[in-house]
Amino acid sequence: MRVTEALVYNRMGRNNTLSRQRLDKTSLQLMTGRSIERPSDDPLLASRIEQANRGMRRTDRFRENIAQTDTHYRNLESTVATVVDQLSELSELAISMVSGAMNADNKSYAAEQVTNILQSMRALGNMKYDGKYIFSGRLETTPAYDDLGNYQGDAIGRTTEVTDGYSIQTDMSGLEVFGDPGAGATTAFQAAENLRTGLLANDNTQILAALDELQAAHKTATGAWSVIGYRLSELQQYDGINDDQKINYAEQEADLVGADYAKAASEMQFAETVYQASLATSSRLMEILKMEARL
Amino acid sequence: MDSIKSLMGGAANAIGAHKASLALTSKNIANANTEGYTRQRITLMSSTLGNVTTRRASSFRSATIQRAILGAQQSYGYQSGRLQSLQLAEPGLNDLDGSGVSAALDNFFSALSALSNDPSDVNSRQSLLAQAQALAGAVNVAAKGIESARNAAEQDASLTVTAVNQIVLDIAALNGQIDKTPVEMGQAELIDQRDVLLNDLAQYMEVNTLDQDDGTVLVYAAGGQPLILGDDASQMTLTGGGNAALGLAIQKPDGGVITMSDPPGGSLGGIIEARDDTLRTSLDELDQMAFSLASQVNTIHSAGTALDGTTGHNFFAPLATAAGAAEALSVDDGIKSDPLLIASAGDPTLLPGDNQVLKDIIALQSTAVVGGKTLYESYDIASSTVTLAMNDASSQMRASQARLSEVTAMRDSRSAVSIAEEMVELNASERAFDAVSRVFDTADKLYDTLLQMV
Repeated sequence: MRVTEALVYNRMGRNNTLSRQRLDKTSLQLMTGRSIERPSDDPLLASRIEQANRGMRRTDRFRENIAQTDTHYRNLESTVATVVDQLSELSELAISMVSGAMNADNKSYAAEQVTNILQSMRALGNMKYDGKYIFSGRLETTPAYDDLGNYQGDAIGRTTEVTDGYSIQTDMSGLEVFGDPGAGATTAFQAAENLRTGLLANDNTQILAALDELQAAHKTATGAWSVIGYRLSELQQYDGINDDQKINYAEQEADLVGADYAKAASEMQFAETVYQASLATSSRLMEILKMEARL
Repeated sequence: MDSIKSLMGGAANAIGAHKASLALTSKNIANANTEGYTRQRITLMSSTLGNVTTRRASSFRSATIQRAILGAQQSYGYQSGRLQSLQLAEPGLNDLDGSGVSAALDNFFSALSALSNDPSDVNSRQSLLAQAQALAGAVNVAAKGIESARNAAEQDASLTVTAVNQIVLDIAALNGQIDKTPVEMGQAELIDQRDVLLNDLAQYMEVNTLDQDDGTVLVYAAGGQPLILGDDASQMTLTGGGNAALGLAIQKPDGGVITMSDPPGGSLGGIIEARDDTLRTSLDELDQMAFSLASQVNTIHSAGTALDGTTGHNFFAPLATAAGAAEALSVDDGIKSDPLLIASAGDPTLLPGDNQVLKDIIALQSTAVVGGKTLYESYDIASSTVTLAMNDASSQMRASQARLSEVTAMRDSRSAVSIAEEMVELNASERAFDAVSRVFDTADKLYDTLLQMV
């Protein structure tokens, strides 16, 4: 093949450009720590990176839902625990008042205690958090119970997504805690009211009947407390699952995006050597061409 | 005397021959770096009278290699035009840094989810409004990026057609000169200039050439449409534009106009393909996505109830058609001015806590609402249409560039000047010239001597 000046110059220019581009590409990887800068560099890889990012954002959303729901349930839990204690106290009072040693005056005094506990329980039934009634379901600006102790909230609450395809209830209606008259149960308020009536009437039969109702109400409230505990545990479990998933997605993303530093450094060194050799060779060739011109 | 006269005549002939050879060699050396210059060589041969005469100068031009260069140029030009036209659209479709449409969609649905947990919370409503505006903004930016790329491609195509027309005129003019210029009067140089222009033309569009015996060339565009016949040049015009596809028409010297039905090839072909195929497809998909998003959300939202008990509110500003939807997507002014109008309840009797409408909107993210595709799938198609085409163009451009370098190297090897060779030729011609000059001097002295003898 004839070697001409045009051939030499064109080749020099092209090869210098190619080796410079190679050096630029590897140095950019090291500077940014990324294997690709633009989706067009590797569209398939970019798509996989985006899937991992979407996965992370989705788990973040689930974790936020879980956090909000967890806060709400913890408020519910402390309130329901107090209701359970109150029902226990009422039951103990009822048991103590049916003994032969208690007279009408003792029972009258006990009736006043029941009144106080009942008032407190009604207040708990209409407990608010962040300006919303916590036992009213979706009708959160309406008090759960009216003055007569009738439930006026919503029986079906809201749900929230805690992982792909699975939602959890975010609240608890008053019916689940204080009893559902529609299902034939006596509410905790009514049971307490019945106890007060029995005490004022000094009627042990009424007191014993009220005791049965209080124990049933106690069982309902304790059951609600257990459900809250179960849901909190479920939330924690799904939070853990989401956390693990996010870590997986993050690792996947890092593997896909992150440049292999050792490999990039080695490639850059090689590219640098090639570029330097290319420049040195070009320089020598130009000297030779000058010599030829001086012939 | 006669023999001395013929000696002098032969020497004079030889001096002329070597002088011509010297002149050509020095011309070769002078043009060693001239783009497209084809080296020439004078062939010396002895005449019947025993003198040396020159055959006409021959040029080391290869029509086969020239055609290969034209093919490689048009292939490289096509991919280069394609890639350049697509590049402007990519930034708006780049989700790698978390600021693109994909992330904006996720954030929008996350904000919906947060509000669904507490529908009456004002902060959550403000947050949803902000994320909805961010989503609309991201879609607008993506669409504007694609539209800008299409507009820039149209301008590039127009400028390219202008350049092509000028080159075509120049080649035709050179054809005219070549036809009138004898070989020994510099025809080869004119052919070289014309070949350089043909290379430039080939990068802009596909051309097929037919060399004529008189040194001129006939040039045809893709599909066999005549561009240059002798010194007659056709002119091209760009048709279409705006929302319409670009096209090309050839106006012949006799005034007739032919519409080019075949793709023109070269960078012009790449630009038109990028604009009217790749970018058009991407924008159409993005428009469909935006239109479906707005329509589906509005349908659900307007059936829901806002916190004040009112209904019938659009969430996004209504869009009449899919065309232009991506660029026009925006949050409804009513919602922007009062986030409390965001409908959350499906049952007005369950205000303010009911979140059914929000949940129904959230469900859209995994529902096929865009022609059998989800919103995410539709956006992925819109962005990957461009990025895959860019990746392909980049890869093919590298291959074309390698091929072009290879055939250019073949041309440089065969046709370009080697100074070392020319130096040897120069030396040989110079020596021969010196030797013949001496013969002439000797003959001259003999003549003088004879005259003195007389």
